[in-house]
Amino acid sequence: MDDIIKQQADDQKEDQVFFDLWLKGDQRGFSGLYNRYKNRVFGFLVRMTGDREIAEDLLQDTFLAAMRNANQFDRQRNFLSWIFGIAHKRTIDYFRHVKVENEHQADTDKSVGRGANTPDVDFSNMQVRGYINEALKTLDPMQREVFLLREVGDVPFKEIAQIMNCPINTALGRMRLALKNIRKELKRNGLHGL
Amino acid sequence: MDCNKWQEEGLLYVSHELDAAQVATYENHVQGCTVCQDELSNYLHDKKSFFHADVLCEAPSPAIDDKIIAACSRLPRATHGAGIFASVWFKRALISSVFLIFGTTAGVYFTMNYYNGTANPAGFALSKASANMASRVDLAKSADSMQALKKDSLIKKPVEHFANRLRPNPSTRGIITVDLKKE
Repeated sequence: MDDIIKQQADDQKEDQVFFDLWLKGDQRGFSGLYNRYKNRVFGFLVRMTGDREIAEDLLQDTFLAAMRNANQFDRQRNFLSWIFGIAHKRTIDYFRHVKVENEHQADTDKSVGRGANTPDVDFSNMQVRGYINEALKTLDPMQREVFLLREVGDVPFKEIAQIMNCPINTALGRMRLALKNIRKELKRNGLHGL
Repeated sequence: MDCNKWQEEGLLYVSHELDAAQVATYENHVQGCTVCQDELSNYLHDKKSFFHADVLCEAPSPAIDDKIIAACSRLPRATHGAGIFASVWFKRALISSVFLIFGTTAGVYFTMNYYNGTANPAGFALSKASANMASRVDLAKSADSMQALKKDSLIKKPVEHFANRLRPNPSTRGIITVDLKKE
């Protein structure tokens, strides 16, 4: 466990270096941060919206918003948590304004899990991805948000509670239920306990 | 069977959000609680098997990568050196303060005029009307027309009479003219 904590601290230091370069106008700064986290943020956005094109637009919005608000970034905070906070807000704004919640429920599987840019991914991972996506679709939206923020974004629960504007116990309760429901779905597909 | 410890501390334990004392307490608890042992081992298994980058992450198209890198690689709009004056919150606070000051000033101004005109009309009416009446009475005495003036109900009328008939006008700043001839 100490190794994981040490790794997280090292990652945070590297993020700070990239962030400083970015603020100085060095291209390596932004591309370093972007290449490090784009897949996680995009994975979160795709699963939240259920549409790759919309997720790409939101990905662009997220990083542009990060650029505009770079001066508000608290250096004590994890960059990944901050960028996921922005991505979450963009997603909520998107649903609020466009009101396509029903569509994204129905269309999730047409685009998620295609893995267009990961041709070397093996079949078992693709299969698991499909089952996970199916399981995620069965979740309550709030449970799905907590699960994705935690598992894709590695955002601490304390910050998830801040991002979702709820008490930490609510976030923990949603996570517990999300895990329970996902496990149930995976079991139904004969995946749990592999 | 369910154990609250899993929701309260188990998830925080896995996400490394407990301090050293809490970690020790939870690890002690897990040793004696089969529910927490199962939950913990299941979660760690799921994390390793299903909840990892190959399954949960997605790669955006190279075209959007280039677009985003080109758009965002330039210098961010405001740097840390700009300090508090560059922040959006500072601007919002400034605008709110200006509205608050102007709003309060306008409110106080109109409230004072309103009170001058309505809440205490008798005072203004009294001073003005009594002064006018006094001069009228003096004139009447000097002109030997006291009798005629006494017949006029104006003197007997209470001051409230004027107050009730007059309408406040903020533009007069509380000064109310009374035309006694009409009365």
